[in-house]
Parts: sequence; C-alpha cells; structure tokens
Amino acid sequence: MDIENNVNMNESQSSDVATSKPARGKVEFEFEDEVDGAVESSNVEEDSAMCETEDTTVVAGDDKTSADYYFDSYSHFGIHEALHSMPDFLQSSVLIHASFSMQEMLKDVVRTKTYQNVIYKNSFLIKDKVVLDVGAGTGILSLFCAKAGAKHVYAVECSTMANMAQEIVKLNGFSDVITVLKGKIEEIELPVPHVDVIISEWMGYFLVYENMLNTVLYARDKWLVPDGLVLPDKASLYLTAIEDADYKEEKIEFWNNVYGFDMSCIRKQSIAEPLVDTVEQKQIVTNSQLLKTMDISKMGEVDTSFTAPFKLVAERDDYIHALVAYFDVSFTKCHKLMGFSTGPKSRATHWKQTVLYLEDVLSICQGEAVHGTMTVAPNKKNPRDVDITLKYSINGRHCQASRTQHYLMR
Amino acid sequence: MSSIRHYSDSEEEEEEEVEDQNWDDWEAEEDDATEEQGLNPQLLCLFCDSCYNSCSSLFKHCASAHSFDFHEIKKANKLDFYKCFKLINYIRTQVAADKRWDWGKICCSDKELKNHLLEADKFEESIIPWDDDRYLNPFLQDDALLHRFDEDGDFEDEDDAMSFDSKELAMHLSQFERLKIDEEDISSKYASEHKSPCENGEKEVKFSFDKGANTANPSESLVNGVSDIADGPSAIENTGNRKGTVSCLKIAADEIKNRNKNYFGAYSSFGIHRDMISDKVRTDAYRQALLENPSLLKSAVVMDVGCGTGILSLFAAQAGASRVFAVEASEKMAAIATQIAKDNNLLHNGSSGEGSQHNGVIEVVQGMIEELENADRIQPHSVDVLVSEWMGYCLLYESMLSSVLFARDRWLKPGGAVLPDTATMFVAGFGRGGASISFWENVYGFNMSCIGREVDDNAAGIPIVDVIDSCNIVTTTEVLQSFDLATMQPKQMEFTADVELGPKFDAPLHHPSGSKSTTNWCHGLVLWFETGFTKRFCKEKPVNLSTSPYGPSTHWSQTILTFREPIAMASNVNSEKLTLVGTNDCPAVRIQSRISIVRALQHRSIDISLELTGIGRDGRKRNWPVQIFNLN
Repeated sequence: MDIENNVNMNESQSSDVATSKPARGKVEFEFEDEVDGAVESSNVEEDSAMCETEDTTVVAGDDKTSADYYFDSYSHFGIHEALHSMPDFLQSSVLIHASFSMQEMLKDVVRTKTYQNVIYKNSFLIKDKVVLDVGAGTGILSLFCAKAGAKHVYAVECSTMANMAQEIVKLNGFSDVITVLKGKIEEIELPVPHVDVIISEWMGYFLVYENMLNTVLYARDKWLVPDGLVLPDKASLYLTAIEDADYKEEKIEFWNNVYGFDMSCIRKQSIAEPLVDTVEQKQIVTNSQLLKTMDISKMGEVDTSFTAPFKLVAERDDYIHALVAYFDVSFTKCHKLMGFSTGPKSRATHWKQTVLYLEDVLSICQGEAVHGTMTVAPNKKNPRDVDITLKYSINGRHCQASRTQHYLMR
Repeated sequence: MSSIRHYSDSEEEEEEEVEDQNWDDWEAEEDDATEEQGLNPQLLCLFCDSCYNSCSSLFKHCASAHSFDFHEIKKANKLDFYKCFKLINYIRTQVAADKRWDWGKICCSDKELKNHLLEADKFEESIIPWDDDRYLNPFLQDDALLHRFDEDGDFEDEDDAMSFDSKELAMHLSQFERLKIDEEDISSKYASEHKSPCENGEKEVKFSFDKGANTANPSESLVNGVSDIADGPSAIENTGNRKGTVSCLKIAADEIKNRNKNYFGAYSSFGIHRDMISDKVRTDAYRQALLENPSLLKSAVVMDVGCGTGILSLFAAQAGASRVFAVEASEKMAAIATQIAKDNNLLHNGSSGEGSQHNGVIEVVQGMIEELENADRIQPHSVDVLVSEWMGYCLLYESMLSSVLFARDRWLKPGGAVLPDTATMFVAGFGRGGASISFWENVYGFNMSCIGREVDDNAAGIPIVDVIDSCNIVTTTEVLQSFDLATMQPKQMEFTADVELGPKFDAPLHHPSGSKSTTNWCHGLVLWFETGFTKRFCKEKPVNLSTSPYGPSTHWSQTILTFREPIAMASNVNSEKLTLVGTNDCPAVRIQSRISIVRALQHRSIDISLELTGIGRDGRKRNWPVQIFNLN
C-alpha cells in the first residue's frame, strides 16, 4: 500500500510566489530521478487496481500560470486536431505548443508508467502480435510494444508529430518493427487486413471532453480480429463530494472580496466554469458514485449524452462545497488487473479532477446523502464544449437544499 | 560547419568578387539616363544616380544596367504592392549602406545576384529580408518612385497573385477562426473599426495594403495610401480615417476585428482576470503606488486605461481620487467593471453626489481609448494621474502602450503623472537547462532528441513565454531598452539596441582546470522587464514592479529567444585555439547582440530580430546569421 510519491510532477510549491511553475530545467531533473527510481516501484504497478491509498500526498497549490493556460488552450487531443488542420507555415509554432503539451503528458508518470507496466509485465498480450497504436503522438506506446516483442506495430498519428515519431522510431532502432502512418484513422489504409491489439491513450479531461474514443472504436470495428484486445478496455466516470472551503474561497468567493472590494458579480459567472484542478484526498466527504462505465472492447457507439443518478453518502460530518468528477481506466486482460485512477485518492495525473462548485455550502451529517442526477451533453452551439447539468438535493438535519446548476466545459 | 559565414566581413566580400562587377561600373552607365532627365518628378535609379521620368524607363534601365528586373522579381515572388514598396526602400537602404541587397550572401555578379533574388520564392515569406515594417518608412525624402512604381497599373492584372493572396487570406482567416475565444461577448461595434484608427491605426492601414493590394480596385486608393506614407510617419497615423479603400480595407478590418475579438475576448474569461489580480507582484505594486502616495492621488482626476475588472480604479478611488475614468474596450468587462464599482458604492451616478467620501467617483467608459465617442465628458488635458496595467509579454506583445500614450497626449494635464512612469527591458543569456532539448534525450529509456532539436530549431523563430529559473542564466544581465512613459513617443516602441553580455561568474584567473571547467553554453537570450513608479510622481512611496527571473514569478513569466546553435562562453580561456569563436575550443568571452523590436503586421504582435557576434579572447569576432522571432 505504500506508494512512492516523493516527487510530484504536476505541482511545485513556492509559497511566497503568486504564480509558480517549475522551471523546465528543474522538472527535467526530477523527471530523470523518477525514471531511475521508479522503474520497479511505480505506484500503479503495486496497486494494480485502483486501490485507494491512504498516504498519498498531493501538493495542491494554486499554480495555474499563464503557461498552464497556454498548455490548456492546446490541451491534450485538441493539439492533434490543431496540428492536422494548420497550414504548414503555422505548424512550427504549433509544434512548439504541441511538444510542450506532449512533454506534460510524458511527464505524467502515472499515465505513462501504467501503459509501460501493462505492456512490459504482460508481454504475453503483445508478443508476436500485430499492434495498432491509435493517436501515437511521439510513438511512446509503440516503442513499449516493440520492446515487448510485438510482431509489428502500426503507429497512426495524424499530426506532424508523425514525422517526429518516425524519426524517434529510427533513432531507437525499431524501424523494422514499427511503421508510422501519418493520417486520420478514418482515412488511412493499413497494409494488413487485421490487427490483434489496439492500444490508445484517448481519454480527455472529465473523460469525455475532447476525447478520441470514437476513433478507437472505428479502428476496432474495422481492423481488430474477433477476440482481439483493446488496451485499455474499460473506463469509468465517478462523482464524489468534497469539502473545499479554502479553494472555493480562493477560486470563487475570491470575487466577493478582492483587496477589499466586492466583485461578486463575476462570481456568478465563474462558478459555471468547471475547474480542472487537483483535489486532496482528505477533502473527500462522501463515497464515490459510479456514473458511467464504458466497455471499450464491446460498446457500440459512444454515448455523448447521458444522464446518471447519484447518491453520495457522507462518511463524516462536514461541509460540501463542490462535487468532483474523475475517471478510472483499466486493463482487465492483464495477468493481474492493472489500471490507474485520476481520482483524488490517487497520485495526481495531468487530467487532474474536474471540480463543479455548488452555489450552496451543504452541511452534511454522517450517513446523510446528497441525491441527484448529472446530465452530460455536447453544447449545441459548439459541440466540442460539454454542457453539464447538476440537479441535487439534500434533506438533512442541518441542511435542506435543492438546486439545479448548469456548467459549460470549454 | 556550413552555417558559418562571415556575413558582414567586408574584406572577404571583396575577395570573392571575382567577376569584378562592382558599384563603380554601374554608376558609369548613366549615359542614356541623362537624356531623359529634365522633366519635373525625377525618379532616381535604385542603384546609381540616373534619373528618369517614368517608372517604365527606370525599370528598363535597372534591368539592362543592373540586371535588376523589378517586374520579374515582383512576379517571381508574388509581391503585392506593399511588399514592392518595402522592396524599394530595402534596396535603397542596402545600396546606401554599400551592401548588396541580398540575404547576406555574397553575390559575385549581377547575374548571380539576380538569380539569387529569383530564388526568393523558395524562401518563406517571413524571411524575405525586406519584408519588415521598417521598410515602410521611405528611405529617401520625397521618393517619387514610391508614388509611381505601380503606375502601369499591373497590380490589377495579376490574377495569379490575386488567387495566391486570397488563398493565403483564407488561411489566415481560418487561423483566426480557430483562435476565436469568446465571440459572443464582443458586439458588432468593432465592425466599424476600419473607419477610424483603432489601437494601432497605422498597422491597420499597412494591413490593408498587404491584403488589399491584389484584390478589388487597388490603384486609386493605393495611391492615396502611398502619398500618406511618403509624407512621413505623422501622416501614417491618420490614414486610418480614409474610407476610399472599400472592400480591401474591409477584409483587413475583419482580420483586425478578429484580432481584437481574440484580444478582448480572451480577456473576458474570468480565470485570466483572477490570475492577473491574484498575481500579487503585479497587483501589490499598483496597490502600493496608488494607496501609499496620498499627495499624488488625493483629490486627483484619474484615468485607468484598460481597466478590466476595475481593480486599479477601485484603488484610486480608495486613495481619495476625486474622479476616476475607467476605460475598457471589452463590453463584457466594462459591464462587469460598472457592476463592481456599483457594488462597492464607488460608481459615479450622474449629478447626485452621495455622502460618503469615496462614493461615486468612478465612471466606467466603454470603448477603445482611441475612439471614445463620449470623450467630451472628459475634458482634454484634465487628468492628473493616468494609470494603466498595459504591459504584455516581453513588455510589448499585445501591450496597450500605444493606447496609454494616446490617452496621455489627449487627456493628461501638462506635468500630470503616468503610473507607471518608466519601463525597462532586460536581457541575459540562458544555459542548457533553459532549452527544450534536455528533456527529450531520455524519455522512459527512449531517445527522442529529434523532437528537442526540432523544437529548438523552431524556437529559433518563435519567442517562447515561459519561466526561466535564475540558475539557468549564464551571462551578465544588461539593460536592453528604457522607456520614459511621461515623454516617449509611440514610434519609440520600435527600437534597435546593442548589448554586450559576459559570462555570469568571473572565474578566478588561477582556475586550476583551465578553460574546460569555466565554459558555459549559452543557448539563447531571455528578456524580461521592470516598470517603475518612480520618485518623480510617487514621492512618498516609489515602487518597482519586476518580472525578473531573479524575483518571484509573475503571470508574464519571461520571454525566451533561442539561438540556432548554442555559443560556448568562458571568462577565463587558457588553451585557446584558432578555431571558430563560440565553440568548445574557443569560447567567446563576450557576446554582442543587436536586438530590434518592431510591431508586426499582425495586430498587437511584435517581431524581434537578433544579431549575434561572439568575441574571442584575442578579439576575433564571429557573426551568426540574423534571427527573426515572431510572437504570434
């Protein structure tokens, strides 16, 4: 149960600094440490499932800097799309943005090490198999597979990062095993009729925000042999409730008193913006409620809209300031169940959590519950954005409330 | 080592001029030219002293005598009017400086030179050397050629060029669409922007030439534009008012509109405002300057340019200002600033004066400062204190400085205060830890250094805004440029400055292990700025706001300019070999750099050019090719 968590990649503490971000040089150093120290002792390996660890220390500082915004705006899979559709003369600047973003993702040790362990420690899944890597990026997952003895790996990447992946493959001597294909999955032709394994890292913030699951399912239906393997094959979205007086104070109520001035009119609008941020384990007040599970190897279409009921039961007397959504991903076909959680009880990932602040502060007693439903749907005006509607009510000894709140994730 | 060229080494240049086609020969060929002289508007040849009456005869002369075929080059490079205009000024500049107008490459003959120019279409637009705003300033006073080089009107005929440009324009526009952040928040009011100068009136006009020259009906309106520009900078400032250019201007205005949408749209996301306000370095500096200088603020009339949430106006009101005009372009933010002022009982509500001391002094004025329609509410030269948080990345990127200066000249009382009143840019060199390459060398046991190289290569053309740890700074820190906000003119926002950087730590002379241990690789330059609220106006409590890597970090971070190749530096060089300066065997003891910052075509953006010279211990010099950085 003890988890090596000496270095926290995503956070750096610098208490007297208004906004701080680790200088790149420093992070790189820590990262190398991490690689050395964590090869055999990654948390994900030991907690093969998503066990909820006790001693995870998440340093949650408010260190969202301009640089974070810079990453956010090209965040995650958005960058692939951006790269693909940019005219050439703009691509060099996009490449820089993309590489920072990729760097952030690679530095997400939980994410990358889990994939690495799944592949290295379960080479029976990969050995002598034909593998398709959907959205290969730098090609890191393909390299893992090649090293684990794959017969051949097709790494498909639609952005200019494909050229880089090609070069990386060559540089590391895997040219005969890995074929990098540049293009969209939907348009590309594979030189083989079938693949045995599809591997992809498709998850977005809040699991569904700007994710790449459609593409994975398309590839699955087109090329995967019957009984073929999809890695990962299960993803679940959860909801929990947290005490968050400090941060709600800082992020939302901040506007009530800015250097002594009342700016509460901004508060109303900023509460409707879900906040992607890390939450500390000790803030959790209730159980976690499973909202939705996706079985990637079997599911038909991606449900872009869904409504799920929830019941969050308090584990102690406390206040609830926000509901928090996060997801787990698992690889159920491993020798031993493996996966990772992006929840507040696990080590921080670059997905962080998605925090939905409540208008009211709910005083909840142990055993009492917040009931409600969460509705998720693409925004009508901009389908890339996600509308989230939260209906909740509590009828407790110290608090009765019922409300509907709307959020827009963009 | 093919990249090593001695670009400005005149001795070598002479040696290489094998075919001996030098300037003297060209000047000798004036014969046919003199015949045509006499009639009034004289068109001076680009290369020699010959004068002509018509552009066609001048260009004919250039083609025959100097192997310079203007039309051919124009066609080959798909130059629009505006680029031709710059080309002419570029050539004149270069000829006057006795340099060949090429890319720093030495050309042996006219012919080679011509061929070289014709290859230009292989170059990306951005690095065509004359494609620089500075060449919009006529090199010659009253250069008649600039008025007339398009007189054959062939800009109308070039369908090729036109389709090229509209395609490019479409690409630009698609880019802008991508960048749109918050369109719903910006009203259609900006659609009328093209009628009057917005923040950068002159930029707008330049833009319209660029995009408009090859579109609909250029010639008439363009002649207008030309004479304006030829009349000098002051005229340029006003050309935004001309309405003659119809559709082409409209397109340009749309681009700027999008730019402004993005600009003001981006700033209407609250997270950014929260981050700016909670940037304590920034907010505390302003707070101190406003609250702790009572003799300045007490009963003063204050104008806050670009007020955002209005926090600075609130401080000013708190400090006892008698009146605060909070000007904000974004409608959404202006509404919010109004609400906030109201919620804090600080909003000025018409005639009824309220009891409390601080009540009712803030008036939020929505609109861009340059086009305030209700400006008559604010009397010219009636403001005692002009306050603004106008600084952008790298001080000048997306900065509101020109708006501040505009407001200063129009509304500030003579002798009134500008807060802050000084701005200083600093430069230093950074080491390996500041470059991207180090991360990519070992990624989970794989070598991905090609990405790092690619990024650093690309970074050699794009400034990166990021935090540099002070431990990664390997040189001394020098002042790049200082601005006095109380007196500076808008044109001073564009500048060229020379700085000389030495190694940061002076190693003792008796250093045991010689040059090796004292060698540092300088991978690029880092820029930052400070703004001062000096004793001049803040008598009780002067304040300095610094974004230095040596201080607490701010939301501005620093701006990083990456060299194409790192330069070795050392203060103490023992075993110096006669190899290239800046390599491991012969580290530079100093790096001289010349940095120019000009406003780019893209609205609110800037271009930075960087020239480097490494100086060895024996005084030998090595120049690196100029680098252009575009922050967009």
